[in-house]
Amino acid sequence: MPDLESSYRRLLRWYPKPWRTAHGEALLGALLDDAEDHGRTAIERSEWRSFAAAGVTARADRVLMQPTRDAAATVALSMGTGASLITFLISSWAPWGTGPNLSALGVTRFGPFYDLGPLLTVLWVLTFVSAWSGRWWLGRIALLLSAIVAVALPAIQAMPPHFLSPDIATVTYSVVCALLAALGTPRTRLPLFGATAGWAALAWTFYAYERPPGTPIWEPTAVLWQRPIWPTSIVVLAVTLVALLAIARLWTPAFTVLLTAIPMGASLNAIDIQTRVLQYDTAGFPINPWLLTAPLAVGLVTLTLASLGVLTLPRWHRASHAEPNKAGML
Amino acid sequence: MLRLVSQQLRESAFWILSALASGRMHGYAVVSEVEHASVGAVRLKATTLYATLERLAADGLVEPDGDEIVNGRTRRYFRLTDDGAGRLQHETDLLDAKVRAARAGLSRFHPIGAS
Repeated sequence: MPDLESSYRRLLRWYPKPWRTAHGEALLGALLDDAEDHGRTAIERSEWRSFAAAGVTARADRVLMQPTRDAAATVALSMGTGASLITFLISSWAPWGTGPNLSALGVTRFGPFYDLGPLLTVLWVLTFVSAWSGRWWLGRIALLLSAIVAVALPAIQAMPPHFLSPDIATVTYSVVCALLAALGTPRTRLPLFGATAGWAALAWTFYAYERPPGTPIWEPTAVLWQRPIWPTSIVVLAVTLVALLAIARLWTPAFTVLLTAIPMGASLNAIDIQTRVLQYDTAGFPINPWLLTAPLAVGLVTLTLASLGVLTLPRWHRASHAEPNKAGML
Repeated sequence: MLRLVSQQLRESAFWILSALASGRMHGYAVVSEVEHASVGAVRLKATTLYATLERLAADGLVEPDGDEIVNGRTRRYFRLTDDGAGRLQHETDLLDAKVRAARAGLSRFHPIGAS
């Protein structure tokens, strides 16, 4: 048993120190009682996994409260999946043959696809199915993989044979959505489907608005960000909604909207940086995207302080949770 | 699919509240009681137990009720609060209504091919 206890103590390091101080000995006692009753003398692999998952969750809980993380994860999953499906349709799928001759542009087709976007699409779809089937651990792995892959795509384009990467704004959007979704656990079914369809419809609207009638279906992913007034308006609306919800002291919805505005805000900033670095013509922002970053940053700091317990928001502690939400009792 | 249904008590929370309804218990006793009550269908991991207890305590549905040291091991006791009992009652009524509806439907069911 001393060896087993030492092993459990090592696994406890997955948890943040304050958590270990508050609950570590009690958890250890329960683990040793259980091991003794079942004649277990060594740690099982499943225990290692459960410690890792629970410890990481406990660490995340200290920075962002769980209800907010879960709600934001649901929205971010729908945002990422919806946009990814549309970019697959308009920018990646080559067999319809509506796209350009890539070799003339100095880039290479990625198998039956125009660009590398399907690498992200397949990971988003896998994540969605994982959430739907209750295997969220698999979804988290797919999300982290998709974030790594997305960051690598522009570098892959720069190397021979020069496969085409999605544009910087789409890549940024995908990475931020993936990280946001990985922070929590989606907890809805039909709303997740509906939201995904909604975000896909929105991306299609952006695309359809830019595409002259009668032209081939193919457009680069950058078409979704071609007119920055669209995403800018969405971020402005989100910030306004956050302010209204905060005035009403509805903190969980307020912070959820705040978090889910970050992917678009980050993409606008990425476009701005790219425009400046590469000295392109002005991107045509109706508002300087960094002005939108300020309220998002203030909100994020407020959320972090509230989650850490440094800042007490009125009605932050959800006393009403003793009463279940009847809307969920289908 | 249960894990994706919002707002309802998650399965682990439901079983923990059910176990604590019979009186204060320490962590491992809750695990044992849940396994026994569910006829072996639910086996809570200790990590899941403490994560769920922490969440239930934050929601005011359970509360810690003292620590004891037995054989050099800490045993932390928990008990159900009044809010927790109310929430469990609500959840139980809901399940009861579902079961009654299902039984009523099944009693009127005629298998295809039956004369």
